[in-house]
Amino acid sequence: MSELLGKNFLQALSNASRSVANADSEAAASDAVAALQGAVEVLVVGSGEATLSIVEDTFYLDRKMLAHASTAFDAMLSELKERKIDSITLMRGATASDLSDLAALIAGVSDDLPAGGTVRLNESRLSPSDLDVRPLHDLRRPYSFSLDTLREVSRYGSLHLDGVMAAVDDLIERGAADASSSMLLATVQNHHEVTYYHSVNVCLLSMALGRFAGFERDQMRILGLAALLHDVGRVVVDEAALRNPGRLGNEEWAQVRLHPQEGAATIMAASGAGQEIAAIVALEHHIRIDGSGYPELNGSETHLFSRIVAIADSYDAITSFRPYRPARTPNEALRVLLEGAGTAYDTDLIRLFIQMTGEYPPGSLLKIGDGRVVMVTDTSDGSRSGLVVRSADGEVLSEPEPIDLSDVELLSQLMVEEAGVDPGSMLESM
Amino acid sequence: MAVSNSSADVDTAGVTWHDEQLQRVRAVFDSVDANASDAELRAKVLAQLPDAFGGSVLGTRLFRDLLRVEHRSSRFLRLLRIWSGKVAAEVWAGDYQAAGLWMRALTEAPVFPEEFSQLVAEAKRDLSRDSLFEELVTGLVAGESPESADLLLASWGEPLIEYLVSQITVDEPVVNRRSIVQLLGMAGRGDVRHLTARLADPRWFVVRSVVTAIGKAGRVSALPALEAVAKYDDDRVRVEVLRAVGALTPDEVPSGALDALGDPSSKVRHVAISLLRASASDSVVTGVVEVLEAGIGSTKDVVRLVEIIAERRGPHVREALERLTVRKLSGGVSRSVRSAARDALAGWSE
Repeated sequence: MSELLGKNFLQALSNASRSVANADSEAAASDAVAALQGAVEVLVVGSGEATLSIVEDTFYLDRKMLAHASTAFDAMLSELKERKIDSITLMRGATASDLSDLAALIAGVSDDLPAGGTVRLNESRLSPSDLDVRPLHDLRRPYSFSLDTLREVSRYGSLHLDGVMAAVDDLIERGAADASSSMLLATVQNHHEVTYYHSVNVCLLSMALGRFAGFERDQMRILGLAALLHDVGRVVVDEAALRNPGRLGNEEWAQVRLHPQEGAATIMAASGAGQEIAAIVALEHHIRIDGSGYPELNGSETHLFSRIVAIADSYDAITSFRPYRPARTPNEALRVLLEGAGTAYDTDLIRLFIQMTGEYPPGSLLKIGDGRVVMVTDTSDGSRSGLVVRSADGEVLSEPEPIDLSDVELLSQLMVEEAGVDPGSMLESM
Repeated sequence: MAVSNSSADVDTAGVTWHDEQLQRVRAVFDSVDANASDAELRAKVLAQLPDAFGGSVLGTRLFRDLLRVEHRSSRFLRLLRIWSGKVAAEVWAGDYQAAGLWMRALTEAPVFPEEFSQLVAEAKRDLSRDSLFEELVTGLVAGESPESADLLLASWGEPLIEYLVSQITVDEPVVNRRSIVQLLGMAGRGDVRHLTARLADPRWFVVRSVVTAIGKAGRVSALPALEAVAKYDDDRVRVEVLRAVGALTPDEVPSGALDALGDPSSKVRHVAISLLRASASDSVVTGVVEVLEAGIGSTKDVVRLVEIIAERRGPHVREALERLTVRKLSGGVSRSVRSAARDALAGWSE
């Protein structure tokens, strides 16, 4: 069972749940439930049923661990645990009524359990011995902790820098400076919490670049803090504008352009070590190296950390899905960055970033000469290694095989959907 | 890793791979400082790391940028609340230098839109609470280096001066009056007009303290205002005016001091003579001779004035003393002057 199928189901469940919670129109809610039904049908093809379980803060689909999806749907994991739901068994022909009840239950707007029998809760309790149990990568827990600190800003409207710094310390402690792990984990996305996930990803990428440049731990901490908070202004500007599914209109765009100054002010209103740099980065991260961009300041050179975060920010944005455009490959993101070297981005930092990532950054999915699909895992020290994730006949390998990519013929680069493999899910296989 | 060059555009499993894309990437990459080695590149980046990763210098720089770009009054008010919190927090923490930087960030060379001037004035007024001033004043006097608050006091200006002046008039000020006057002088350095305006106060003791503070403020632009109170009724004020003028013009002949030699108050004359004695100007000799020749001063005074001349060196001093030994002067001190001049000349050497 592909992790992507599990992820698609969780995405559809998350959409339906939010639609119910936000009291969307009946038609919109009905569409969301219909999409959920579609995801379930794909999931149960063959076996006739599928079980999503939660064991020790991790989702499992039948016996397969959904490591990356557990990070991507961190909030849903918490919501399910809060409602004491350990497993959801989905039957072929799951009804809209049952799925609608499930969505409402998860959203917290109803206590009604699905009664039609096609969706069963807590029926299938799996023990660890039944499962494909692997230790989660050390970075996943601090990643979730970092998400929580950002959620709190939105929930309580105030920022506690000590808490954010603790999250950064935790990330550093668990190896966030390792470029390969950071880049793989940074492939995680969540469509409903775009800003939070993007912020943590930018934090990981910035710290990896900082470490690659030779920064000391204290410098890394401040860089991490600044990167994690670079978009905190998005939390306080009109979120409706930011969630617009299409391209932004003039008014919405004007709102978005205010987020740097909102973020800087929010950070300055708090108190704690590193707040000045964090606020500077929040204010400057959309200012290009040639002085253009926004907001319009006095034209002096932006802070080194702002220039680092600008690169990580763009890289993550380009490789992430947005409602108005699809995600692009890591290599394509590098091309965009390179084309902006000297105008949008600091040339030296771009060079370092590309030296760190290689032409095909960790997480890149490549089709090689013999038809197999490999995922790049490590590009450090000039070595290029990866994992074979799909065989030449298209089968997704349950146990990815290591491969040295130094002399391998490259045919094409694939998107996640094309490869049928989520790069982040391979973090535990490295 | 080798890239297949079999075709410019390879369609594999429905995915189009543009080989030119990679070539374009490489072209851009190769054009970027291709000669720098990794170590050089890293060193270049590390050299850009700032010395400081926090502190008020960075914070206030950022704050001024925020003031510059914020055009919404509600959000501008929020910035003012942040500013107010920063100043107060630094004062309570006893970091007067940092508090000064924050105060100056808003008050010096304004960068905010002009229509917000009123909001800024109100914010400054709101911040100027007696409780905060008391904390500041007592903290400064108890501390070892009140000069660290130079910037803060000078930038705070009028509201602080108003508070300090009020402390002069109360029975039990929060610190002694001498300290208050010292702080008043520091507060007047930003714009001494806030101090000179207080010279119109009807209470002599307020005027005296303000005059002293003006002398400590060190702003020569205050001289006309001081001269305007040089004839103040109370001689305690006149004494302070003389001292203040002397402090503001240390390298010049204290002209007010020469005039003050004719003051009816012996205290004023005494201070004037001290100022003349302390003055390094060569013109002191000429000025004092003119005063003596005009017959101004008591017998005791003229002896001390001749001593002031005799304490100096140079041919013009001998010439002045010789002239005084023979000159018949108006008033009743002619003999005393000649006698003092002769005595001085006898013991005088080049």
